[in-house]
Amino acid sequence: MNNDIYDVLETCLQSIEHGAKVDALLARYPQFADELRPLLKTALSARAMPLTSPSASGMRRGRANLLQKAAEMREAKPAPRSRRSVIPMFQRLAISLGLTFALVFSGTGLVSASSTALPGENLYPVKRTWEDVRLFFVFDPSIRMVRENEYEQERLHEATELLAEGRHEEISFAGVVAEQNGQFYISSLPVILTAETKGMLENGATVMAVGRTDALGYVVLATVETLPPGSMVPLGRPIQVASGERDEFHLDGRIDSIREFDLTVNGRVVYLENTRIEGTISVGAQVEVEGYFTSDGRFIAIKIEVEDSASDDNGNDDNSNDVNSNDANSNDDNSNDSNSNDDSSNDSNSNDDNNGSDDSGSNKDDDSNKDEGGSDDGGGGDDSDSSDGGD
Amino acid sequence: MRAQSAISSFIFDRGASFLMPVYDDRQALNGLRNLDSQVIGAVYDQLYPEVYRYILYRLGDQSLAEDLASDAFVRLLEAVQDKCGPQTNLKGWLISTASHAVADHLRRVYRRPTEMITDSIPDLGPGPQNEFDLREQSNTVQRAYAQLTVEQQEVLALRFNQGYSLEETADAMKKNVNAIKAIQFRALAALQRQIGEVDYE
Repeated sequence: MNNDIYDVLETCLQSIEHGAKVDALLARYPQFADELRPLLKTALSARAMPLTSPSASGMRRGRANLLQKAAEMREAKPAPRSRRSVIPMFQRLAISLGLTFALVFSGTGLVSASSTALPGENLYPVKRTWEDVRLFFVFDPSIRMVRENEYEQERLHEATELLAEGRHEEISFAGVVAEQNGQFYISSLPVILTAETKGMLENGATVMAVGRTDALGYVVLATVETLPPGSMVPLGRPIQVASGERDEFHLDGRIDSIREFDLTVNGRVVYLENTRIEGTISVGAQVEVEGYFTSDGRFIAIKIEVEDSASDDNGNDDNSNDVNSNDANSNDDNSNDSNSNDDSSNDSNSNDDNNGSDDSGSNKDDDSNKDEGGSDDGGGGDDSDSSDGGD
Repeated sequence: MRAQSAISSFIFDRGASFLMPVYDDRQALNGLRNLDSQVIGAVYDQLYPEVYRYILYRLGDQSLAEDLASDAFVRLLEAVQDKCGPQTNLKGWLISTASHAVADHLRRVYRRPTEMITDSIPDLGPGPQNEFDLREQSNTVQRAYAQLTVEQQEVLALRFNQGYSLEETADAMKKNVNAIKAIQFRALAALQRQIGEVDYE
């Protein structure tokens, strides 16, 4: 019953909405007429409850308030550009992770093998690419700078090694120009300017140099570009030993060849003039040379000290001696040459460490060595690589 | 199809205040998400009067209706930004938000009544003869309406003020159709009791 009247009321309300008259509707449902009449009339008045429209000022106020709110939200909302930079950040992260995994699982052998590669060698591009890759994924600027500096040092080290081996290779490196007795150095690497060289060398300038190493231990410059002030470049090793009126230099190395008035140590010609020689010099001997540059660029030896490696089977002693003597000269232990006293350098001393107690066995052990004859004094391991074959 | 959407976007871009709504809620929602002030303005211009009328119907207080209606739009903006806003039906969402705001307001008023509403139901005159009487009568209905339960008020507001169908009302109030039928019956009966028998003919 109740449900019926609910439905009838609903039907009537809909009809009223479509313009039906109350009386006509009541006539249609006579059984509910008494109940319906007041309800329908009330419904009419409820429908007709006159309502004022919103005032223009109220509407304007609300509108301004809303737009103001929107503006605040726009500002609080992260700008689209920051979202753009976030996404590439993730992409970079993903790329770097992917690459890292790829390299760890596939290429580490290659990368680590390339770590000692020198310009001109097959693995050298791998080494440089790997450096670039590592640099690319460094986001922290300070760490990036440290690493860049490290790589520049590595360029210098490569150049030093190339010079020590007397190889001809294209190199580029950054450094500080220093002039000593007419000889230019860039971060302790002796350089030669030719007529074709583009650019100028100025004492104290920081430069980016491109050139070729030559067999005599010089870098023949192709171009020199002055870097903007404030550039970080490796300084190289100190080359100058201050003493008295002359600028004295210190050179550690292996004798490549001996002639009447000069010798070649690590590819550098050392002239003998009233030179004090301690020990017996021989090709392949490890020597410490102290000398100075003349104004025409020749290096005159004042004192040559042959290290008594031949008589001493304990190579470690040699090394410690080296270090000591260098300290005395206020040089660091690696002079600008072949790093002979450096265990990890390219040559020689490996047999010292491996079997220092057995100097006769050392040569057979080190099969890469191609020493000439003197196996006894060669026990020092001073004679090692292909450059020996030249003389 | 393309031409039609071009027209509707043209109309929409012009600002809906000039014309009846012919635009897509989804398009408007997009604009709201992007905090596009043009779209926000157009949505406001178009829907504010209805929201206002609904609240005014419920509460009978103009300035309150203006405030609450304006609040509803701010909430719409916030909800859209928080991704919990309407998916399709903008107006429905606004009315339902306004309804909550009205309920909140009524709760506050009941808890701390500032004026006695029942005090002032006047004796009913013979019927509206002029403007004054018309207003007087509307006040009578208004006061009577205020005596209804919140549920009854809402059904009447949706049906007679917003012109919702039975189904739409049921949907908005999350009740079934039969319940709404019953509520509206009781609401009219209660309203009629409050007003007293009035002959409009």
